[in-house]
Amino acid sequence: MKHSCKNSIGARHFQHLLVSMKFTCLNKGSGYYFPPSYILDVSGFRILLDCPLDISALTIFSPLTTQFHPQLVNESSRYSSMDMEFEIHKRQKIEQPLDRGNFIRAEPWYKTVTDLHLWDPSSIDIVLISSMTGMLGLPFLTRNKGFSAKIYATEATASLGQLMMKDLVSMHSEFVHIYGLEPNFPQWLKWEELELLPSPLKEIAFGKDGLELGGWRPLYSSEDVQVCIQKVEIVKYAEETCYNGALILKAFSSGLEIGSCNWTIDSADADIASVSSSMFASNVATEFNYHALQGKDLILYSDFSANENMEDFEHGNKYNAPTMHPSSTLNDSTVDCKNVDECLLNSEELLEERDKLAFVCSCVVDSVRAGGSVLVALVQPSISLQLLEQIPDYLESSAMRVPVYVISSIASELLAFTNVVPEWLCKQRQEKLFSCQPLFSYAQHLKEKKLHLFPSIHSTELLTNWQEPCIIFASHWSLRLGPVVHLLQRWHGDRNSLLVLEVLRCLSCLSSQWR
Amino acid sequence: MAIECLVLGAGQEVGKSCVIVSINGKRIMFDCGMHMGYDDQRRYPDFSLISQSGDFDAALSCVIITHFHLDHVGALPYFTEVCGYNGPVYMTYPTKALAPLMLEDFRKVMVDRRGEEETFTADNIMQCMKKVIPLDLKQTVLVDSDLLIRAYYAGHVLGAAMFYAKVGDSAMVYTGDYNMTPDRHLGAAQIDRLQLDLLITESTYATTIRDSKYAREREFLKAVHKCVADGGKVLIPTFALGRAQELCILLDDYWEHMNLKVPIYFSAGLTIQANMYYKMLIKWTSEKIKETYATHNAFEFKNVRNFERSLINAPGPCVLFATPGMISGGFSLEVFKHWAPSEKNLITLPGYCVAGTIGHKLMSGKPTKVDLDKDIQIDVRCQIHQLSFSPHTDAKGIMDLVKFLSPKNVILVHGEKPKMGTLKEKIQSELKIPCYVPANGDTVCIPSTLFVRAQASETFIRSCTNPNFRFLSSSCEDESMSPVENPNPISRLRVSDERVSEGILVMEKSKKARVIHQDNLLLELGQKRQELQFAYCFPVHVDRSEETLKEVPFTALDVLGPSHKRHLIQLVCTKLSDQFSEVDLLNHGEHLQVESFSACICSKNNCHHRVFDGSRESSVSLFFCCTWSAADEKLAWEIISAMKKYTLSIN
Repeated sequence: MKHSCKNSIGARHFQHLLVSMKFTCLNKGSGYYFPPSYILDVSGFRILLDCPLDISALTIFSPLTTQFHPQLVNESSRYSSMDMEFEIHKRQKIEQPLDRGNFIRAEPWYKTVTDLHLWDPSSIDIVLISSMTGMLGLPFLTRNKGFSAKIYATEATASLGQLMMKDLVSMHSEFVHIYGLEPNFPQWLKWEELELLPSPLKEIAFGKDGLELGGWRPLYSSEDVQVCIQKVEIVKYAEETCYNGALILKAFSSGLEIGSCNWTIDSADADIASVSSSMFASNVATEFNYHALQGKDLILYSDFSANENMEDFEHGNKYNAPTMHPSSTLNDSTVDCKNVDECLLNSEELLEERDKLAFVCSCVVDSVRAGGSVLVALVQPSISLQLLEQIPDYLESSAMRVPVYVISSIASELLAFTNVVPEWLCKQRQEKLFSCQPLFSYAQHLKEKKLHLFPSIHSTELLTNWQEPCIIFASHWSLRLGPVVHLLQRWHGDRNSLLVLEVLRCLSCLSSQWR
Repeated sequence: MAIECLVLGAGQEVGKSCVIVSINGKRIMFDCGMHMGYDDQRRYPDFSLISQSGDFDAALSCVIITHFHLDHVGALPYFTEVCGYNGPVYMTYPTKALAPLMLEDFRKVMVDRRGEEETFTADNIMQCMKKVIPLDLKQTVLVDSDLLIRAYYAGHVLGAAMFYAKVGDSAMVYTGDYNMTPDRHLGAAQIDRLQLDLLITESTYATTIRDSKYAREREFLKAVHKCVADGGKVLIPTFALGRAQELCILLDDYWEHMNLKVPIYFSAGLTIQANMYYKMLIKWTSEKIKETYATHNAFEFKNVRNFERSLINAPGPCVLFATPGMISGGFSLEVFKHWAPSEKNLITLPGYCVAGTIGHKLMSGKPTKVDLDKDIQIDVRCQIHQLSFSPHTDAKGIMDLVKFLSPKNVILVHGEKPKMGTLKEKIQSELKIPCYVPANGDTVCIPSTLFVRAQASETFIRSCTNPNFRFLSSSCEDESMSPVENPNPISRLRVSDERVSEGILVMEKSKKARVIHQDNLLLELGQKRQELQFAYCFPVHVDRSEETLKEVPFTALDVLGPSHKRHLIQLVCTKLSDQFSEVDLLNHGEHLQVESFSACICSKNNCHHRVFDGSRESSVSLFFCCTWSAADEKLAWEIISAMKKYTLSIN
């Protein structure tokens, strides 16, 4: 419709397919945290692929400080130093750096896929979820009265997605707890207020053409999440699901994350495969299933966001900033498969990821050696999990005894979950099952008290265990919500401390002041 | 094409399950078990029946193992490493993880304790497991381009699965061992409603119907509690996996609940290690255990410790889990020797013991002495409690599954011959499904299915959507509702809409089969409509007056003038309209017509349709020739029989 989505069609019966199938792009996606979503009309059925939330849009809001430094709230000069330097890499030049006054101080709202609201929810027959981030916007859809579509997701994606939603709701309610409740229609959504925003923030709020303002919603409740999850039909990889006797739906591993998948839709008219953001090989998730795409009439490659990243690199624009402070960033490792032929590259992809993880670990060790603390706020669980495995080993080999904390309302659930899902993991980890070792080595770190899990920053166990310097894994990666905000505030002035983030397409949060 | 089913093991017996099924050119081996009751070559299935030459790779498409019990997987290392099968082997993730433990345990018992020559080595087991491709439930796997397999939850032990296999249009299910009622650590068997040519099901409890499990569990706990309260020792011989974990959850809970401090031991490091697997594979357990894994993993037993050999004769009560399950040797036998002579002690026996094992001897009657071998005899004075909650389905469960799947044929394996016979009769008489009980070495052949895809024409589809309502009035007396709740059963009108569609299947050579509506048939075939017409010429008695006799010569009745004919027709018409008031009678002068029936006076001498009955003289009769089409046959005959009785008069 409005956006032109790049999709390559490799079809035998091209003409025929065009008649029987309709493809409408709702959003073209921008990386792992915000996968593309689109609507397919096949054989008289309407299928929605993914229903994400553009969580990066949270950046237009100002983070809240906690009560334990009340004086900071009033001292804008000191406070401003913690604001992220904010970069939008589009064609226009970067304006003067934003300061804290520019951000909206209000209870955050969440930006849904705007174009989805143009569709009648009751007209959707099927929702297919390809990854955990692809279902974060689902409660907005399922709470609609007329909504009656069947939602399919893999078992692991549904579990992870539920955890992420739960975490989001809990972080948000913490925010509201501190900030207080807002009226139904907040002040900031008024036109006069929005007009005053600096242009990069305005673009996030309105979208390029000013139409995206309608996508903003207040967050769903935990009841909404419950209802939503109950409506999800869970499947295994390669399980055949027959919809209405007419479509056969199958999920195949995409290699990106535990449980993430590519869908195939077989109908009387055509066999279609929809390829989401994928990785050929992974150190965590089940390998990309290439065979599933064979013999299809049509393959939809929908996610080219990572490629755009690469182009940006080549053009040498402001996006290169991370390379100037390389130690503070972990490059987004979700490299898409552009072409099935690139399958040969898979070992390289894996090596690249390994190198990056090793690099991050060594940076962590450097920071700790210099007496600083490390804060890790990543989007992708599989990357965090690998760092959780590796960092304690790196510390040990450097003979440093520094505690590693995971602070999240879902920390223990997430780690328990990852140790009981051998079917959804890569070959090497499945071998661990067969030789009776824990699937992730942090089980051992937990036992040896190198790694500690805490549900929140206020928990008494954390306060009694607290030791600095330390390494903390905390959410949320937008740096607007959750325990990470408080920790950032504590350490932003410390030259030796380190913040580890993933580079995202439309936002790179780093700050030279902070280092 | 036919489906051929060769039974190599578990035919009319329990032990060494192994069934080879040939289905549309593919050959699958289901299970590769060993028999615990034999020490000679009868222990393994007779693999030579699969291939004389021993080229098993060519003879088999794949091997499928349903679960990790030795009578289902015990011969696998022998088959792959010694016999040299190199093709794919499929099992679920838990089975792949746990089977090597069972095999290694067995190998050790065989070699270390019994001093037998081993038929496969530890290295063989490892190499064998490398060939195994793990599966998840419901994952649809294409073994090759034609053979599709899929696993369903069977609930027998952790990771036990029923397997669905499909080649072309022929499909079958091999159940392995399964349980239709959920137990403490596993869910109930689950399967889709599939179209099957063949169902091969176990029939361990072919005639037993069991009551609630909870009563039996309470009984077990009471027996154990009483024994330890009196200072006795409890020996629970089990296999390392499955039962041990289930009973342990039961005891651990009970100990926690009753605040008991009596130690619970696991005999070898083996079972503790097995608990590790159970923890990782918790998603394969029952719903209840799955739900709580994040807060407390149910296989993290609080009261369980490792057992040392020195503790056998230590004073004080204890509970001990020891392998192997049927006291066929190993550690459980060693402990049994020490503990059996004291009446304070308790030994629990599993629900099923293979003939020849000590367990079997203890089960049959109440022996006071058991012969270990020629020289050693043990006094048995201890109490014996038989556990009857074996994770096999009972007869009702088997019938339920067969009924649910409604396959075209059923084969029973893994049971005792007389009981299987009873079940076979029941399946054939109650469900009307052919059922077979082959012995080892027998082959059963059943026809396979071939589907032809037929295209339905538009008119046919439209005709299918025509409703076919039937109205029934019935009083709504729900069986579940008691009369108190529902004092006045209300009579309600029930509408049923069972649609019956009639169509014609057209199959021509080198053309796709089609289903069309009858109206389209002629057009499709390019033929003209042909109608079936009946014709009948019969005499009607005529009474002549004198005058007419003069006018018309007697013999020339057949050349009556038109006016006479009209007159006669009119006469018949009037008579008929008196008799058949409901029908639409038309007088066309020369002939009369009712629907498609028409009758006229026949003037031919030798009408083809004339039938003489000889009852009346032809001289005084007039012939009427009638025709009608098939639809009005009944009416036509009614009119004819009426007309035959008339006497017409020509004045």
